[in-house]
Parts: sequence; structure tokens; C-alpha cells
Amino acid sequence: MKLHKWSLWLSMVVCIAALALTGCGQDKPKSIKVAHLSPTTGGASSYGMYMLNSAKMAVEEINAKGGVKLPDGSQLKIEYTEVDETSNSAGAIEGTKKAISLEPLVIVGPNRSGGVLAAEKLWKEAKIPAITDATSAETTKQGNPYTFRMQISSQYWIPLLVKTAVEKYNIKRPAVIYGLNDYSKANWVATEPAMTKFNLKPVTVQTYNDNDQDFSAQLLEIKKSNADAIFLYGYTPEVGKITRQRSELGMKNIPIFSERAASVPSVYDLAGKENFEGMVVTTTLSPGDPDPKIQEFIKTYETKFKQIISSTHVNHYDSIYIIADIVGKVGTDREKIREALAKLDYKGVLAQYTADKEGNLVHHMHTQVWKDGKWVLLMSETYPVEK
Amino acid sequence: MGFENLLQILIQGLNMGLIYALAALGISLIWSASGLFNFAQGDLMTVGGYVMLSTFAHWALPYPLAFALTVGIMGLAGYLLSRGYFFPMFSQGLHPDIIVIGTVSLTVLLHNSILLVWGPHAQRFGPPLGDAPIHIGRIIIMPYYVYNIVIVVALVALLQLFLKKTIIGIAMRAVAQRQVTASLMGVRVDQLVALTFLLATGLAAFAGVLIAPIIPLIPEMGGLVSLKAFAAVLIGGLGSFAGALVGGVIVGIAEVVFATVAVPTYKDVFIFAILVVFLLFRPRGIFSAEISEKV
Repeated sequence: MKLHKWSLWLSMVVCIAALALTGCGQDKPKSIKVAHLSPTTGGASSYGMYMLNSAKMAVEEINAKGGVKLPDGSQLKIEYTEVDETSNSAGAIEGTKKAISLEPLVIVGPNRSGGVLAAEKLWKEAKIPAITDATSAETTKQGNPYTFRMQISSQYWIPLLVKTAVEKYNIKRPAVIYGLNDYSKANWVATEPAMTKFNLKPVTVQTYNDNDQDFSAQLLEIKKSNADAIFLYGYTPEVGKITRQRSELGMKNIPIFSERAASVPSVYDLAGKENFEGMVVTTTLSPGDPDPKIQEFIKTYETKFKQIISSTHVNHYDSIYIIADIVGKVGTDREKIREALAKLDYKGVLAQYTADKEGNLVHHMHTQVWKDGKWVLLMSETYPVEK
Repeated sequence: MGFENLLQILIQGLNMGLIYALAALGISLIWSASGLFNFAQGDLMTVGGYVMLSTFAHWALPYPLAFALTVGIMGLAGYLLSRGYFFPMFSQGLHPDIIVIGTVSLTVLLHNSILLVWGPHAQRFGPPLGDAPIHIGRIIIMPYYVYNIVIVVALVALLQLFLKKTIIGIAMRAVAQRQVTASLMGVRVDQLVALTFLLATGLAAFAGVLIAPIIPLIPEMGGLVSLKAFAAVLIGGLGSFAGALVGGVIVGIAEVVFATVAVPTYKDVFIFAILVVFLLFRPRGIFSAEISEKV
């Protein structure tokens, strides 16, 4: 039997219309896709591993329990993919493009401030929420409703460091040395007002380029200035080299106040453990915190990965749990996930996460000192959440 | 700037300069023998540092044994590299300018091999004489400064002796000066070029071993150092050992002095400005190595 030509065309049109009406190609996701941008190569790679390990640990725990139960009662596992953002902004852009091409529900990362600033437009255009890292205050001031941050902004990071220097160490003549990158510059920008609040003024301010090998000119200038403290901001390799050269130039008696890059275990090796003694850093998680949940997390992590944790680089463990919690409540619609992140109020294993008007999720932090081979808690502070 | 400060700065500059000089020596040696600008020399140096990390820090071999093993492994790698990688290109009559691209490819290969074998993280092993500084009045000297100076000076002297007083050294110089003539005189050019690669890679291993306690090992380390080493080679005089040594020291001291008296963040700009001045007004460098003086 022959079909009339017109009936063939009609049936094709009906099929196409039916497919369009039923949302052809928009099937319910078979998994909760998460793309994690982290530096695994380049100067910032020293801590990329901790971010990935902590996130993977959470993914494994959730998937081992069968995954995330959605509002419709179905259960989905997390499909986690790591993407190298390298340690520069161009790499972060490429990494973000790759992450977006994976069509994740949520992006975790990038880690570096420069990377976030360079790539944030990409996830905004793709309408994918990103739980970033990074400490530069600028990263959440871009008016991007898809950017959230698991770190404390440098505008809070540095005041506690200065407060600790003044109240615990009676510092009066601080010197500053920072690297010329977005991350370190942001710390320097936050330093001057924080010091002014305590009637301090840097006796000298020195800068260096990333990948520099010799810092003797800057350190000798600091020595000449009779500084009684060094505020040091930079990435791990430079922090390690500067800490070691400080001792080599006979300046070991001048304590260093630094931030998260100095809490990465590889800094101890680069600087030499004996030169690292007395290092004061700011952190969102301190191994010196007696909270039993935190201590249990540290024990599990260190046993599983056979490595000492890097205090401020394991919080993406909670990022994954936050994603699981939100998807469990609102399902797999990215816009609903974004809205839930913007109203987040979640008690994680490592911290309390409350979203402020800029998308910053963390508002509690500590300072800690490296003493006799371990981190000891110095001061803690909780900042107000601006809604 | 007081005298003591100036002296301290010069010591720091000399220390950095020796690092550049070590890398520059290998670059100069290969250029002399093969007319090839080996962009992978810095990465070979990095591999040398990592091999020492394995032999000394991971396998816990005694320092002299680990050092000798590292130089041996790297020398052999250089020989094999020459026979298996560069010589096929030479034997097909490729112009050295094209083979230079092969050295650039090699940098990518070596860099990624380091990432695979040793990972991306900064690592360091301690120097043989410890990390305790020596105080001479108010001047501070690290033991490895002295150690490095002794090793580098001894190395340059031995190399000069080898190249000028031994049959193989004289044959290498002959190949460096006129490959065709040397070949007509019965010299095995391929073997001699391979031997030059062996020597240059051994030198790279020396550099890597001596540098690693000063600059932490990262896969990118070679690239960072070799840029300055290339500047040192061109300032000192391409093809001259003395030029590589002096060029390295000039670059090291100039950058530290500039960083102290001017702006530290522009020290690289300053070094490459010096290089431009040399290229414009004395393109053959300080030692102006003529073809007859090569190596």
C-alpha cells in the first residue's frame, strides 16, 4: 500500500511537534554533574591536590550511600570531573570553557582570584552557578549572581592577621612584601586600612614578581628598616623561598605573618622546618580547633590520603555536601540551585555557610601559629553577614 | 647603601650568577659543537635536579654517590638523546635553525615527563653542607655559596683542560670549528656531537643538583632559569666558556644590584635591556668568540 505524499509530510510534522512539546533532548539528568576547577599544574598546584581530594572524599561518601535523593523521590549519583585551571588566568579561562562544555549543574572553583576574575563572565553567560574559592574581595563584587565563594574575602582575612600581630605579638614596625598578582595585591590593599585601625604604618613595602628566585634586595631593605614583623603575601613557592632566604640573611628573629598559601604543607619543606617555626597565618579551618567534627574530618582525610591537610584548601568537602543538600531540596534546575545558594544557611562539617548579598558563604576564621611541628589556634573571629 | 650591605648584595648576586652560568655553559657547549641553540638545556637541568631528588632524598643514597649517579644517568640520557632524537635530524641535512624547533618540542616533552613522574608540586632537598649560615662580621654566607663556587670553578677548569689537552677534546673542538674538514681528517662527527651532548647534559645535571637546594624544584624551573642563561650566553659571548661564566655572573649581580637600588619588580626588564644593548653594539658579547676560539 502506498502512502500519499502529503500524509508522509504530515506525520513528520506531527512527530517533530510532539518531540518539541515533550522537551526533546531535555531529559532529566542521569547524574548530578559537578565540574571542579582547581590548579593541578603551575605555581599554585601545591594546594590544588587538597581541594580535589577533599571534594572527591565528599563525592565518594555521598555516592556510597546511593547518591542524592531528589524531591520527586528519585536518587541520583554525583558525576564529578576535575578540570585543571593551571596557575594563570589564561588557563582558568580555558579550564572554565572546558568545565562548561561538560554541562555541569554546578561548577566548583576556580581557586585563584585572577582566574575567577578572568573567567566569571563565562559561567554567567552559561547560567551555571559557581562555588568559587579565591580571597580577593573583588571576585564577588562583579555583580555576577552566579558567583559564590567558599572563602573569606581578603577584606576580612587581613584585619584578623593585623589584630593578631598587635594583640598577641605587640608588633609596632611591620614591613610588607607581596607578589604582583591579583591574590597578593588584594591582601596588600586590605593591609593598609587594617594597620591604620591599629595606628600602624608599614616601615617599608616591597614587591616581587611571581617566579622570582632571589629576594635578597627586598629582604635586606626590610632588615635595614628595623621592621619587627614581615607581612608576606604570595603563592606557595615564593612564600617558601622568601621564608628560607629570611633566615639565610640573618632575619629569623623577625616573625612572618602570612595567609592561606603559607599553610600548605609543602611550604614547610621549601622553607625548611626550622625556618618555618613561628609562622602565623590566617585560615578558615585550623587543625588546632578542638571541634570534634573537624578533628574527625582531619583524621579521616589524613588516613585516606596519607598526607597532612592544608588548612584552608579542604573546604570544598563542604561545597559538595552543599550541592547535594540543595539538589535534594530543589532538584536539578540550575536557576533554582542558584536561588538556593543565594539564600544559603547551612551547617557544614568544617564551617557554617551563610550567603551574604555578594555571594560570600564563609564568615568565620582564625589565626594559627606553627609551633613545635603543629598548628596552634591563636584567635578566632566571626564577621557579620550583610544581607 | 653601606659597604656591608653592598658586599652582601654582591654575594647574593654572585650566587644567582653562578646558577645562570652553569646553565649557560651547557648552552654554549652544544652551540659550539653543533651550531644548535638548545632551548631544552634548562629543562634538562631541571630533570637533573629531579633525578637527584630521587637518588638522594627518596632513595637515601649518600650525597656523593647520588650526585655521581645523577650525572651519569643524565650524561647517558644526553648521549641517547643525541643519537636517537637529534642525529636523525642532522643526518637528513636539516638546517640547525629548524632543529631548534626540535629542542623547543623537547622542552614540552621533558616538562610533561616531569609532571608525570614527580608531580607538579615544589620540592627541595637540602644542600650537602647544611643550611646553617656562616657569619663573617655582619656578612652572612650560606655554605652552599662556597660549595657552588668551588664546584663551578673546578668544573670550568676541568672542561677547559679536557677540551684543550685531550685527543677527544681536541677532536670536539675540531668538529666545533669545521665539521666537514674534521670529517675529512677522519673524525667521527656523529660520535663527537653525541659526546658533546653527553657532556652538556652532564653539565645540566651538575647545574640541577647545585641549584635545587637554592631554587625549589618545580617543573617550570628550567624555563625560568634558562631565559637568564640565554641572556648570559649572549652577553658573555656565544661559544665561549669564559663568556658563559662571566655573562652569568654579570646577569646575577646586575639583577640583584638593580633590584636593590631601583625597583625589584623591573629587574628582568633591566637584564633584557642590557641584552638588547649588547645585541645592538656588541653582538658577539664580551668575549667575542671567533670561530677559531670556539669552546
